[in-house]
Amino acid sequence: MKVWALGLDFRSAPLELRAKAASSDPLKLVPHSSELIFVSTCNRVEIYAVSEVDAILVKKAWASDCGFNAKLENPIQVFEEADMVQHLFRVTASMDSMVVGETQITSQIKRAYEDAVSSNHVGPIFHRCFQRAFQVAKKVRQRTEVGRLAVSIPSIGVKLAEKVLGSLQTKSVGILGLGEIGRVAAEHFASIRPKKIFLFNRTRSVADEMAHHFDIETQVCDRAEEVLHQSDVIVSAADAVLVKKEDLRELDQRGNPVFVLDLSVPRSVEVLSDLERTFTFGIDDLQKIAEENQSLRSQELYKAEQIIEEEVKSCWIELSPASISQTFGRLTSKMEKMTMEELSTLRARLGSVSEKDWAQIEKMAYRLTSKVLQDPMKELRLQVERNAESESLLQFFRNIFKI
Amino acid sequence: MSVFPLVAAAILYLAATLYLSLYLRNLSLRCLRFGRFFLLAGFIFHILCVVFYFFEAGHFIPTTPSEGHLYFTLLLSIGCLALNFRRSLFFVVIVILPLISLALFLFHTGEPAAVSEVVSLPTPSPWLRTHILLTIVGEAFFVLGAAISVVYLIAERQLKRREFSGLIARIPSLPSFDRFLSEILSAGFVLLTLGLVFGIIFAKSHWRVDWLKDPKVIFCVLIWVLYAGILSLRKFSPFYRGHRTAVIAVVGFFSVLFLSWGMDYFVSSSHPRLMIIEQNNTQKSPP
Repeated sequence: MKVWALGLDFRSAPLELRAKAASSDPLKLVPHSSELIFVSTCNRVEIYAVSEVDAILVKKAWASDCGFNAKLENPIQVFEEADMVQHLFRVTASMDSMVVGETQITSQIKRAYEDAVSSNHVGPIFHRCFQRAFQVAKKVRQRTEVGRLAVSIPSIGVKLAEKVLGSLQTKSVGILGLGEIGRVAAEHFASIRPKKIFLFNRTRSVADEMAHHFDIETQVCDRAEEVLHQSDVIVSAADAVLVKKEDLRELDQRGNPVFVLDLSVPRSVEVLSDLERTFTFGIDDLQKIAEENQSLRSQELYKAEQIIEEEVKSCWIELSPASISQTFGRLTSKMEKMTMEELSTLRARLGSVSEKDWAQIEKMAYRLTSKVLQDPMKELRLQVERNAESESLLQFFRNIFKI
Repeated sequence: MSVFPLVAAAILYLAATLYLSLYLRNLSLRCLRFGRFFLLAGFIFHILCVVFYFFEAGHFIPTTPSEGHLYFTLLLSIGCLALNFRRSLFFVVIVILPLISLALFLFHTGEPAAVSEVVSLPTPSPWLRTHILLTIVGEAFFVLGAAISVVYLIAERQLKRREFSGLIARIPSLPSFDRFLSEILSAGFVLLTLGLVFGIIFAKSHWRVDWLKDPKVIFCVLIWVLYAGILSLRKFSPFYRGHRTAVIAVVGFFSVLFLSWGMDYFVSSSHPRLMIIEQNNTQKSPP
């Protein structure tokens, strides 16, 4: 059995390709898998499987199922064995997210895992692996500050908006201007899955096309004012002034706090300082945070990666086909088989023995076997945990017992 | 009772403040462990002092303002222990712990003026006991609310001025802070209301002077109106949530502080000087 993961994310494939990949049926792609989990979010589509089928074959089948151009490079990434565990841990801990540290991905993975559990597609390997991934995500969140140290401008914008307004899942986001910056910002805010997204662009077809790709409620507006009136978060990336002082005053009178982010240069939101419930930020403010975070982030990322690396190592020792638990399993079953054989020979030799006495003899034989194995197994586990070359130790152990 | 254990508790709380602040600065788990250790050690000293004090005094309901303050500070430290389980609320703990330390340092500074009226009760009054306990717990909630408000107002100000400090990064979002503040103030308000009702029932039957005109009673009712006002307004209009609630919570804190400590020294009220002699000879006075 092979353990692997295949997937596309926001870096390797654009939204349209990801949408196509998400529509594939994983059960058809990997028909005889013993364990299978399908993860589909707006930023990634992944298949995790324990199967006899080679990952490369499934990759090709998936690419042709999605209709990817054969001449172009296949955007589906492959992670096998320990790399799969590492990838899963990084994804679940939100180290691989568009907005690094956002917690939504953990619950999305959890949901995918629970769906797979309810449809009986999860066995011992993925149970252990995914449960461990959730623990690692928690550990990374508790011990590092990776989540708060965003460095990309749109990610910082999302984090600031969350700080001012709380969870964005109950808020409406309005994007003014869908140039390059506006599109990236829209994608970042959409990844948090707000209640609704309002889009405004001078050329309406651009907004229509973008709206078509989002899997959340999206409305294209003809006027910037429509966006302003209905949004709690306003992101302006337009090349003209779209939010004037009187608009800001009007927003401030609304009661609920409003977050206004101006990502354009020159500014497309006029400056007004005496606002009570409207928080305005410009690209310079975000740049300042990015610079501060940049220096701190490498340290925190290093800490998080260290945690993940350690966890991958210890998890893989237990999961790998030549793992310590499998070695113990094989040894125990070999010894049990030998004990049974010896017992049956003894029974034939002894002739008449009462059932009560025979039960005692059987018990003694199994107890003796388990006692003999106890110390070497304990010592091996200790050495494997301490020693960097655990693989050679395990091999040595297997050679001694011929298992 | 010796002053030493209380001073020791105060010093331990200050040490906890220092280590928790260091933890927020560098996220060192060692600092967190030290901070929590000092907080717990301070609390153990504190609770032992309270138990020992009241065991010596022969009663467990506070009878003087100082005794009330002893209970009050203990409740605040219980609040800190509870908040200490959420990293995002450490800033609130850091605001409250020095206040507790200050209150403990000032514990032995003296009592207010002499007794002006003596009321003799045939049996211990449950109304009076409940009134005292509920108002103390309610006031502790208001102080907690004020500490949360201070952190909220600082964070909001920094966000508006676009100053991005560690505080902004480490506290929860402003709306969740506001919701927490509202829950704390509501709890305090319910307790204060019940405390007042029990106080009125007791005063009607035992306090001979015209208690309704007593300045301390009037001021307490004004504080009640202040909290009732902001809690109802924020229910109906989002304008009163967040900033305005936080400002009122801070104003409320100073009012509670004046009511509990300042008023006895500046205003002539018979409330703290009302001596109640119960059948078992313990002396009680509303806080």
